[in-house]
Amino acid sequence: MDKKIKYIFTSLMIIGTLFLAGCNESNPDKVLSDADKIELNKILVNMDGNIDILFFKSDNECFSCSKTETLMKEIEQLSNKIDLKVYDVDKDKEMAARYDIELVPAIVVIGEDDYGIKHYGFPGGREFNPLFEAMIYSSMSKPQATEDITKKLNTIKNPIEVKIFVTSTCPSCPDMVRIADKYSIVSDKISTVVIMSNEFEDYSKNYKITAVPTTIINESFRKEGLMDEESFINYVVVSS
Amino acid sequence: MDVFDVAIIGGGPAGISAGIYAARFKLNAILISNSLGGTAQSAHLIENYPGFGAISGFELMQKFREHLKTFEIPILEKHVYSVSRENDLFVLNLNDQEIKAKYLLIATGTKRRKLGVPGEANFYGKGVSYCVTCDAFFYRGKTVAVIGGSDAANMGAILLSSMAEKVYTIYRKEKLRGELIWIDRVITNPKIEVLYNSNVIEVMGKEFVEGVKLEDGRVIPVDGVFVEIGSIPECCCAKELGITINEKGFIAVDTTQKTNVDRVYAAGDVSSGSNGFQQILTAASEGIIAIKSIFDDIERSKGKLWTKK
Repeated sequence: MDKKIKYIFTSLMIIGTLFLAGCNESNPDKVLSDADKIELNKILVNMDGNIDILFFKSDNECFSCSKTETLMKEIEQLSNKIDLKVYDVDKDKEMAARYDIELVPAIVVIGEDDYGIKHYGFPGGREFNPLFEAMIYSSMSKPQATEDITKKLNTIKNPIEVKIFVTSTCPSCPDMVRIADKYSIVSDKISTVVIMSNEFEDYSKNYKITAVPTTIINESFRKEGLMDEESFINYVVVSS
Repeated sequence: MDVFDVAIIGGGPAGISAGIYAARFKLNAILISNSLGGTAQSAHLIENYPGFGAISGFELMQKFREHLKTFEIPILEKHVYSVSRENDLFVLNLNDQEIKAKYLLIATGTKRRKLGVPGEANFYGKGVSYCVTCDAFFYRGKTVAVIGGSDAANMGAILLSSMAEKVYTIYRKEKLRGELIWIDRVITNPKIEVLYNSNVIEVMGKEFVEGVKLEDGRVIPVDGVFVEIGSIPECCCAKELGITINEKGFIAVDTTQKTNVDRVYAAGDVSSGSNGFQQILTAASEGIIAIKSIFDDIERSKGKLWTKK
């Protein structure tokens, strides 16, 4: 199947699988239900290459490390194309520094390349889908940007870090994350960090977050609310 | 390109229910929505959907979605930019692809109404919010205002009172409206103070919201403002298709959910159905009535359904 078609096809399938994680919060040994796993397996067959999930945790004051680790292990077990590597930020300091881990739990998704996709916090509620989609897309060929956007992306000379503050109940947050993740894969200059604001209250306060999604580009440009792809790229280009 | 019997635009309670019934009637249907679950999933507590007792909007719509997924109906998570006609077909422009269908069911719901006062736009995301369930926790221990007196506003005030130190409900009329059970909870909540007959004329602040100015000159110091003053119908493609909109801005439908345009139906909050009573229950009901009407119409056109002369 043509890669582009496959890419779209996968995105269509993924939308059927919503809000799976977090359904079994009462049981720390299990996050995904059997029904969730069946749905996810349907999507995972679309993976092309292998991906690595780097999971960073800490035994010290980590609210959701255990639950997130359980979820990541469950996802790894669903596909032989997913390899989970678990690191303790207090012990594996070199790896934590290499991936600039500021918060735990942290999930880094690595495809054929390191596309710079990072997620802080338990990816529950509405935030499960975009993270899972990022895993699938990271296993595929890079999606094509339009000619106009490609021209704009080519003007970016320096690395761009996009931070998106979200909550698990925010309706428009997943779309903002999808756009940023997509262009993290398309462009080697862009990286995306998603922060579950409700889990990292102090971190969010430092950025004076009072609404989600809030997007902060290179620690300077700030935009509240959902942007379309063109606006996002324009702001990225202006911030570079 | 496949031609669908019916394209359902919208993925809220009306659209999803329509999708389920379309599948059960074995219609060749497609559902297109850029927000599967719709605005209903932002309700933090739903206590009037039979069979579920108390459930969050998020969970209820998850159950809707799961139910829909048990059927083989294609779902596109996309925005419909426009709809045109091509002979007897409707052509939906999704920007990167087109969908053709014989019938159209518009279930696009509503979008939030804004106050339209100075400061509101400037402080969006800096104290002004339109989503209590998304942003309430940022106001832990702070003082906030909820603008509005409907069920959504009352629910929002209750949710905020569990986190904020003080909640003002600011409403332009002399009585809150909506379900009395919510009103009772608001007026008996020690953290909530209702300011009746009050109109906000300005959202004030420097970098972030610091207060709201009322029409009578009072300034209420608050850290956040949650706007819950109702919604505006998202009448997708109504103009281009010549669909009649009623005096309140909703798509006018008859008891079969049919619009004035042949083979175009509307259901849920965007429609004038159910006597204007916008509930998840009535939206779901309208969605399935519309699909039954479409099914009947298709069968009638095949000569399979007895038609009363």
